[in-house]
Amino acid sequence: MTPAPTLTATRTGAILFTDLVGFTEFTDARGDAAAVQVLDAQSAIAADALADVDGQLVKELGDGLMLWFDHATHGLRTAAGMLQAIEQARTERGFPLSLRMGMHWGDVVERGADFVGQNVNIASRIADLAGPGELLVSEQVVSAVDGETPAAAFRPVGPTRVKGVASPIWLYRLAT
Amino acid sequence: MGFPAPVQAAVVRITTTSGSIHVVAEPGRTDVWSSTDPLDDGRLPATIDGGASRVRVRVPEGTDLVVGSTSGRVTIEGSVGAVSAMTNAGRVSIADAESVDVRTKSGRIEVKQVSGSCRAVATSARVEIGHCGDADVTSGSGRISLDDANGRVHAHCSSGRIEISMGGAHDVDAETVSGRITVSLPAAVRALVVPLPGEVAVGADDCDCVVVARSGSGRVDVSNR
Repeated sequence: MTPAPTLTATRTGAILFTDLVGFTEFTDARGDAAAVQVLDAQSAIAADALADVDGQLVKELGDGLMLWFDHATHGLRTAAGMLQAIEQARTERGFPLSLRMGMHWGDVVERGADFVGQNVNIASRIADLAGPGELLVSEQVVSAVDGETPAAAFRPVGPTRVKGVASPIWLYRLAT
Repeated sequence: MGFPAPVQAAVVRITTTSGSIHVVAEPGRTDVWSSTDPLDDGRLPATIDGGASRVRVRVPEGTDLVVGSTSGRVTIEGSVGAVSAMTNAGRVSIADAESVDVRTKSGRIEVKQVSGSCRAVATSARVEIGHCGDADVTSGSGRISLDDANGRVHAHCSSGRIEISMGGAHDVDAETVSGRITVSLPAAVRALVVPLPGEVAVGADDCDCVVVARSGSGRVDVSNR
């Protein structure tokens, strides 16, 4: 008999998804060992970025990561730190790929150590729309950091629609 | 069909699901007109939402726009300010803007003229940029062409050809996993050409700009016109 799913609690916070652009093509071209090196380097960069903030790595998704933050500003700080570290690694050490990221703010349901729900799906969708070296965030993130991050840091990108959500979600790019 | 609804707006936001969006910036116009229904007080809403219907909007020249459609085509005519446009499958055409940030999954991107910076992100679509300043263009699979770049250029493609024609001496960073890269420079410009890591850079000692061009499997051609 399949056990009933455990829904422990609802939490409000920031969900951040990351993705290494071109990882599949890179693995095809350079092989599995090189791909593992890239993933290890990304994990180390994420661990460093999370060291001084209130956030956690929820899970690894192939070449992507899902992270959780109770405070949107901590999520932004982590994302910006990871982008900067990856770009520095590209310049100084020849790190071969760029990172793209998407962040959304809202309620999620805890399921064990995981988070699920429509807002998780939205955050993943936002990451898909980002270009190399970009962090895209939803309007909800911009509202959640109201006053803590200069409004000029966010450049409008446009609206996107997610299945099951009636209204468009307006996106912004964190200017770097 | 809606009625003319004049408003003053610093930024005009327009969205549709499948309806096309057609914006015209008109010289001398001082208000915004939309084909959509106005609010009860006769004014336009903060966001013009056409849903599945076609939306036509007339704006003053220099107006900033944030527009997006799931599958509808986006066309912007006349001279506008900062444009942000996003579609899932709709083609995006922009005639003349101060700056551009345009994204699509599978719709083609065409930008004729941008006086400032141009950022374009496509998942699987061709990207064509005419005259521009700084350019940051990415396509997952689809050809990238910049006809007259007058600023720093970064072009990244996972699978597709990259063609860049520079209007002056500016740095270029072009990278594709599989596809040919062509960079055309003005006759008098001396470029330091930086190839793959480990290879020897070729160029003038006192170069005017740096061209980094990397293709995993395609030919790289950097030359003066």
